[in-house]
Amino acid sequence: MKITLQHVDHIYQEGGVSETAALRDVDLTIDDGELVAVIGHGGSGKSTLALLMAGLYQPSSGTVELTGSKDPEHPFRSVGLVFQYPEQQLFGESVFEEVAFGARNQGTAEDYLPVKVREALEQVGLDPDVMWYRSPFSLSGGQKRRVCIAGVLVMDPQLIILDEPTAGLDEGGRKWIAQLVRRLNEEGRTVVWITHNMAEAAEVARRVIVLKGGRVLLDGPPQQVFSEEETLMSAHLTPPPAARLVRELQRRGWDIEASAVTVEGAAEEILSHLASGKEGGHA
Amino acid sequence: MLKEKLLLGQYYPADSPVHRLTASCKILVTIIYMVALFVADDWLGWGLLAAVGLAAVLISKVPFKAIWRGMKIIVIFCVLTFLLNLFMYPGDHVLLTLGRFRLTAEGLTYGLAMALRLFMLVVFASLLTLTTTPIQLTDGLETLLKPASRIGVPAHEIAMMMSIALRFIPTILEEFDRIVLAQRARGADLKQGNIAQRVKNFVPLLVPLFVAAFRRADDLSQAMEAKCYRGGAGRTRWKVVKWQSRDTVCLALFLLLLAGAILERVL
Repeated sequence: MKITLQHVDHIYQEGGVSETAALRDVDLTIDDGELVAVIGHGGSGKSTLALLMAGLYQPSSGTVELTGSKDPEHPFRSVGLVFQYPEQQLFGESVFEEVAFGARNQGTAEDYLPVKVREALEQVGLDPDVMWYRSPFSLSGGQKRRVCIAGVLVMDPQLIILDEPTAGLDEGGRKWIAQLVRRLNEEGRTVVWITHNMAEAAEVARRVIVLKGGRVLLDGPPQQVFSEEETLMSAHLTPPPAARLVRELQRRGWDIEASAVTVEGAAEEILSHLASGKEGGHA
Repeated sequence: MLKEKLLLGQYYPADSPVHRLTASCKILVTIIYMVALFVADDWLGWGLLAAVGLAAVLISKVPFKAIWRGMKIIVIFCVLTFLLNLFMYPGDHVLLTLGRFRLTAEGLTYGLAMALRLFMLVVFASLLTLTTTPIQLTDGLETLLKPASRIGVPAHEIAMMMSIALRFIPTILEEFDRIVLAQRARGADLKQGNIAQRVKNFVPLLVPLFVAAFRRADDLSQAMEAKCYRGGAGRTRWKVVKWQSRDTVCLALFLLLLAGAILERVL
């Protein structure tokens, strides 16, 4: 499913005393099957963008259009949005009830619900038989997050937006989220991942959009976006550590391309440089 | 969103004589004004009180727009009061008969007076909250309650509870808006179905709201204890608010106004 934003402005409290523009003149197209990371400093408009793309906010001006939805009458029903700290919205008496909520709202038949819930729980790596009757409030932080994501996946969204899904998770949880995002995309879903962790964005996304003050500052493949170090700095962002490492080596005289953004990429560049035997002065 | 609708009496920062008055003085004056409104019983008294109220608004430099924003619902209430009194108040001078209802001159007067009283009451009360920050307000309340603490009224605790409650109203409203959005993202339709269904629709909103409120209360109490908060006993203030001579003048003027209203009624 493809999403197109044209000249989108979003202003909070329009006409009020504390009128603030969250998004200004945003033009953006995300094609079917893309895996996009949206990064930006706090207050850059990331969450507003997510709410607009999910159809929960109407833009103050401009249009948000979805094409290729399996439900052309209600295209936004094919968008799933995982909120930031989604566990704050838990309410169900059991994990089953919690996850079934979205599917039930979609009009899924009651006797088909268990099948869908089971599927969704398996997708997020939770054992349905163990979890089924447990209260979601009794789970650990990471498990709660998984239940919340299952609660969105159960609706089988074609476009899934995750607003800082790794916030507050431990290392294992972060890795798991990165894997899940990749898998969801491989299954054919369009994925928009909002984060402010540059390393995560570089590892997973094939396209990175940088927001600053409600405008799109940079938009392109990770290698290109993270090479614009000064522009990123102006938005209070720094490229991922791996990219900074190869840049620093280049600055100190190594003759390398310095376009790597991931640990693996950086290792490749360094190894090929060492193999070529043309070490610089800082051996 | 919900927060924007509930702007009633939100503090309007300005530098005016009304803003500079001590909060406890303003609370007392508001109470006196309200009593005077209901003691006064002819148009001279009501007119005078309305004029005093409007003068206070003008002196406060709070724009009428800011007051009007919180008044919209109250106006409907005033109109209803007027209509109710207009037709229900017993009187002899019948002006008009509509079926079973008789419109009398007394009803007209009384209805108008009640509407005016209500209107001015809310204007004056919102002027209090528009010119006084919540913290000043609760400090003022604490000052006024302090004499009662001798007979066991927990003045400081009441004031602290009030200020915490006031502080968290916007936070909780914001949170509620977020929860509504999140459940809507999961396909919740809040406006669907009969009444029983609609009440059920609120469960996914209220449960997270209460969970969050209790968690926040827990966090706050721990944070306060970590900062050695142990209630009012022995607690000192960073900014000591002193009763000024202008507060005495203001209070005296309003007491005079009340005395006038009482005299007028008795004589």
